[in-house]
Amino acid sequence: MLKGVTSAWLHGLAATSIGLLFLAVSPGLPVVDRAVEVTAVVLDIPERPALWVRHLVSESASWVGGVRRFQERVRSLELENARLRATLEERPELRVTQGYGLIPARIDVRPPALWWNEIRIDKGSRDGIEEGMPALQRGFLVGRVSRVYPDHSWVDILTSTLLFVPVVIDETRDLGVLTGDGRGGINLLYIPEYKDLRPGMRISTALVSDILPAGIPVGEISEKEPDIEGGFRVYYISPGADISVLDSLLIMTERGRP
Amino acid sequence: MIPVIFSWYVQDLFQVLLSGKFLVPDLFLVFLIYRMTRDPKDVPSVVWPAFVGGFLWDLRWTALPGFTAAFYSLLAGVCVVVWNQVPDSGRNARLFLVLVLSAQVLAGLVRFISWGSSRGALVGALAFQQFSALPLVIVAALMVAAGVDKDNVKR
Repeated sequence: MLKGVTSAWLHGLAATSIGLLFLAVSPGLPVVDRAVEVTAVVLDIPERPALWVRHLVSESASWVGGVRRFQERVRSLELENARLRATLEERPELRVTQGYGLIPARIDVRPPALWWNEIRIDKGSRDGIEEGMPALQRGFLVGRVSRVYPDHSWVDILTSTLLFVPVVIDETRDLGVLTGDGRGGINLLYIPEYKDLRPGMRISTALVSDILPAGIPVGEISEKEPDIEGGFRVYYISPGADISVLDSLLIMTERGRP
Repeated sequence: MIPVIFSWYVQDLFQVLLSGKFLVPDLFLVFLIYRMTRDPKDVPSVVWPAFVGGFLWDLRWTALPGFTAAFYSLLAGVCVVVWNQVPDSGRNARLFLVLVLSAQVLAGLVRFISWGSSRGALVGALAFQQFSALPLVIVAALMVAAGVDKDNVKR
């Protein structure tokens, strides 16, 4: 027993002393920094399951918190809405009516065969819609009215291969033409190869256009690398409007032009 | 050796999960102490794994090589000494519990000093550390009590 105790003391004290010695000499040594780095790299993969769990828990907590915040926000907006309605009842002259330049329209047909080309809206010439009027969603250009009937109209959307929209890069004032690829993508054409546009640069309709008014925001240049065709760069565009989930639009009349 | 490595890995996973929020339970140390009860004469197989595990822990988490290695080695060494000095009849689950819980509390305190939190957080962090280790400590104590390896435990 005594031998075991002595041995334990010796091993214990030796290991502790070595540990303390390391502690005394290691701070600030570059080799320690390197060792710490290597350890982190080596353990990166084995530790991933725990990282995923941690991330999942944190995301779930944040989602639950977000839902609670949204519920509070909805309640607060409902209250505000009720207050505003009460104010409008008292002062009807403040009531905002249509005719301020934007006509709300609901999309009632989107033919699957022409999904990325055109949509039909439930407003027509009787509502003041005219051919060539821009269609907007969330303040961004979605397309252009192409055919008008008394009770409905058709709108060519930006992803259509039939619509060509002259645009300008807001930051550089370079001009180009937008057109769709018929598969949900939008391309910016005719930018010379030597021009190097950056992702995130904003695009709006150009003054040179006679088919659409100038200054309507369209979107921005995508992160995707441009292609080069015949000495011109073809940039990919991220539209400001969400074209895949369109359900309603605003049609801009003469009075609403920027 | 694989169970030792696995216990270190489990403690490391806990640290990844809980870092910045709680002190992790020293499962690795608990496992080494449990292992010591099975073969108390084999001192190097307890003290030096404690040193290496602590050293690795320092490289991964504290960036102070030698810090955890020193106190893990010390705690493991003390546990071996105490266990070996107690007569055979006294080497039971109660002694094991006393050793493990003392080691846990001491390790928690040392860790807290390096963790550097406010006094208010101390109680919560230590309480979490102690309670989260309890299931494993209890299982280990039951295994000692049941004399999984009677020859060694009662020696």
